[in-house]
Amino acid sequence: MSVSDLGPWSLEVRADLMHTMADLLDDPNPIHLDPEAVSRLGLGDRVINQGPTNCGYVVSMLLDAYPGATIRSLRLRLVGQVRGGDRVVAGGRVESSERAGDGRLVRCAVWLDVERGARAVEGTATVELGEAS
Amino acid sequence: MRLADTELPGSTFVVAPEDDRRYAEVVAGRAEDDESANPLWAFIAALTGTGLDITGLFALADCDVAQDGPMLGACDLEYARPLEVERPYRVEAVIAGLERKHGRSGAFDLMRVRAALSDEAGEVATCLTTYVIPRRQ
Repeated sequence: MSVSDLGPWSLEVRADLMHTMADLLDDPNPIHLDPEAVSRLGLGDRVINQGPTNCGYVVSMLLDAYPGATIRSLRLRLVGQVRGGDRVVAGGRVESSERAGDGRLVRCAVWLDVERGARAVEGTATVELGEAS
Repeated sequence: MRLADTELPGSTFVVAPEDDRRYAEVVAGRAEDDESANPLWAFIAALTGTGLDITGLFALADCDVAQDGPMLGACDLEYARPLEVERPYRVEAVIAGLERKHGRSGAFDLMRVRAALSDEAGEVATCLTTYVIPRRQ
């Protein structure tokens, strides 16, 4: 597990919320909804979390670390799967910080790991902090 | 298959406050009491606002969502301004490329879709999404 300046932020992934996300995405992909379909595709026996949800955990970690901040960029690679029942841990490391107008621009490495498992998301984020930061 | 530069129909996308709250529950995020929307809606708009549903989008690449199990590989998002709920955004999208790769588990395609969200004041966000499409022989 990487040393984290931001986070750690964690939660247990609920399979029932994959149905909510499938509805928001209008995404019928059964790998998110049906363990038997996952098994038929040779991808294991637990439903697989939607990618936008895994990316969203990283955003939630950033906005917990910097309440009220504005995200300017996100470059995220999905490098592993997250499954229903997994506990995930999001974190980040500040790479640079510079003044920008009345605020600051903070560039971070960010990630999402499956606890006792593999990395699921990695990338970078640029966050703009306001005047009071 | 030649798909690069194929323009998708596009659409108008609006983040409903109730959907923003539902997404906040999914990602354990902060549900703000103002007009701001979660930044990841730019990705969701890029995915669902192309004017094609997911089945139709992948069908362009000869991919059956139910049989092939395509997955998200990467997203590159840039924001000019924060997104807001209840504000209509025009989504313009184009297939930026379809490239065959070979990995340990066999052949797969990388399909890249570039989308831009704009309102009457100009561009709000862009999203380059890379999808991984397994190609079972």
